[in-house]
Amino acid sequence: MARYWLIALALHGILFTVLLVRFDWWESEAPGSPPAIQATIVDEAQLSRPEKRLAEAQAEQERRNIEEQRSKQELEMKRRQEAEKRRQEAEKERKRAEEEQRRKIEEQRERERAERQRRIEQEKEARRKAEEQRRQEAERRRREEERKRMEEEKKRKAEEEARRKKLEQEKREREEAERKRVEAEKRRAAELKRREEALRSQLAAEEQYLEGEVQRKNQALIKRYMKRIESKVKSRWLEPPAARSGMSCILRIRLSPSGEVLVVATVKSSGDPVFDRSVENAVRKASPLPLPPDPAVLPGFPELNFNFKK
Amino acid sequence: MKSNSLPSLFRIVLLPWLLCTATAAQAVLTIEITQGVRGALPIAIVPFGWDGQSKAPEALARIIGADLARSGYFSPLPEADLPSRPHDADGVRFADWRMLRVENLVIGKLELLGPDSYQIKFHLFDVYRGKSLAGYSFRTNRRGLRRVAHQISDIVYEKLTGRKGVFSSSIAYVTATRKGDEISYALSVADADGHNEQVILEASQPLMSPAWSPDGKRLAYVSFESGRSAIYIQNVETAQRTRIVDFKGINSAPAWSPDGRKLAFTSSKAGNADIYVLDLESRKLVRITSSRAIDTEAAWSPDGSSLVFTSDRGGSPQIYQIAIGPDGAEGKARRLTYEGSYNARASFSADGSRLVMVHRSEGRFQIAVMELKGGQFTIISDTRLGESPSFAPNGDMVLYATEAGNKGVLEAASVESGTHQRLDFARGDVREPAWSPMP
Repeated sequence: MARYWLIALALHGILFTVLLVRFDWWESEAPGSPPAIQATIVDEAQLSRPEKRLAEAQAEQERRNIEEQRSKQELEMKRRQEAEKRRQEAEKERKRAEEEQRRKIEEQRERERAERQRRIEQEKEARRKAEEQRRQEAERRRREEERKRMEEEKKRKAEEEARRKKLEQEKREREEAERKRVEAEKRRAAELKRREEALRSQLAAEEQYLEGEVQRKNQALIKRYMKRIESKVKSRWLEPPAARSGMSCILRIRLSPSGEVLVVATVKSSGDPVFDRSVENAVRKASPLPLPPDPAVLPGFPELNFNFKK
Repeated sequence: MKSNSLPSLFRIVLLPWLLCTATAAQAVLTIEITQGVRGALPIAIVPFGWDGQSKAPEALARIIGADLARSGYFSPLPEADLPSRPHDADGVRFADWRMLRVENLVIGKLELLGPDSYQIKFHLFDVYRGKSLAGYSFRTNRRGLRRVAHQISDIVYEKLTGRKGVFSSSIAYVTATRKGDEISYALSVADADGHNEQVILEASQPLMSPAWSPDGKRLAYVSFESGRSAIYIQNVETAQRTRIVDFKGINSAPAWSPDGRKLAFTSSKAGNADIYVLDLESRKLVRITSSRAIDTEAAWSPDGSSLVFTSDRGGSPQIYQIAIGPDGAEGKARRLTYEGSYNARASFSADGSRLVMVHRSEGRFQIAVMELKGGQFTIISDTRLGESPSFAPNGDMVLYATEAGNKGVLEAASVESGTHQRLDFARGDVREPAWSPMP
């Protein structure tokens, strides 16, 4: 349909253009050429009277000729203008008729388009209505299904609940049995534990007593060995002549299990290198230090501090 | 020997029981030691290596060993007990020396570089730590070898005691030699060990009381060459001498002021022995004491502000102190000694804290050191006729004269330990020693 429209439009366009061009061409031809005048200007004073009259008659003749020619021309012109006017009017009429024709065609087309549009709208409406109907139908079916499903679900749930309740009941019964069993077990264990605890506290009391004894013995042992170590180091410490009251040096040593002095580190220097060296040498010369059979009873073993004080 | 030794006390602190919040790692036993032993430091001095054809020109190790032993602070391992004789660090096996409980080790070698040119290298090791404490190299000629040995002694001494060594210093003394009926006297200067003796004056009349100028270049002494006692000053190097004091009567016991500008001495020019101070430049003479008793043997305090002297103004010879100002004595003399009935010829230690003097105790003339603070008195000699004591410039030792086999001898005693050693002299009767200032 659009193609016919286009073709129609193109045809109109071509037609219109041809008309315009032709009109232009006529218009450019319209004004007639002005009359050619050949005149010789003569000085009036130079002419003599007869000559003047002759000249005047001649001029008058010429003037009448010209007048005649001019009126002829004017007539021609008028005729031509009228022809032109008629032609223009005919043209106008033709254009108006053409315009009318075109308008009619246009109106016809417009009507057709409106009609088409109306039909399309009607079709659309019909489709919409059918669609709506379908949708409503589907909705109705869905609701129906939903209702059925719900009913089924309800039924299923009810069944499940019944099953669950049954299971729970069974479980409760099992648990009760278990609880009873455990309780019995517990009672037996508690009884056992009571007996065990009685035994243990008895043992602990004995152990504590023994431990205290060991502790006392260990402390005595530690003290004894510290004294031995102290006395050995003391006898090896050659106090330098520069040793003065107030000087002190703290050493940290590391021992082998047999008491060999492995490492000596100065924790706090006396500030006097000679004093520091004397105490370090004292410890090194006292190596191996006397240690108890189990040196681990000495707190911090295998490390030991010495505080040399003046 | 030392009378101030503290009672043996020690405490054991069981740190972990005090610091119960401490972690296990910190809970280490602490053993407290408040007293060691006073004794000589065991040291080994290995004879120095020598690769020359003949015997080594000097037994350097022996000189060093004798120096260190004389100080009283060292006990050198006898040469026969040396487990090995290394000459350089590579040859030292510390374990060997630890076995012998030797704390320090000196090794070295002597090399001949050219005619009368020697190189001496030495090392001092801390045996227990296995570390070198000092290492030096010296060059000298044949005559300088002993001096180098003394310098090594000084280095070792200072490293191991923390105090300056004095083995390179000198001593001056007077000798008396009998030739038939004649006695000849000599004023000599020697190394601190008595070796390298140089006679700087010989006389047919007695010489007495040599005193070092503070710069160690001159000696003041008393000579009887003019028929009566007069005080002379002699340059040790040039032997040039001047008679300084020659008053009527006795002129004795010269003592240099610490600035070397004045001389204190004893003179009886006013009829009685008194102390005078002579300004060596202006020749101005100031009388310091004027008691009716005998005042003699003046000695300057190291700061030059006072003199100590011997006086019997209290009935027995005792030490007095008097303040000295620019115009002479200031105030009255104050008695310093109350211990025993005889204290004489006092002189100061270089730090001014002690006096050394002759002290009669149980009929014997001993050498005693007195602390000026507290007055503590310590006898450091074991002799019958000690005399003329003087401190070593570091204050650690005292040199004095005594008699042995009817002969005057010199002994050096350690102030701390009281150990004393005799100095070897070729000559017979040695008396009136005086220890030089620091070289």
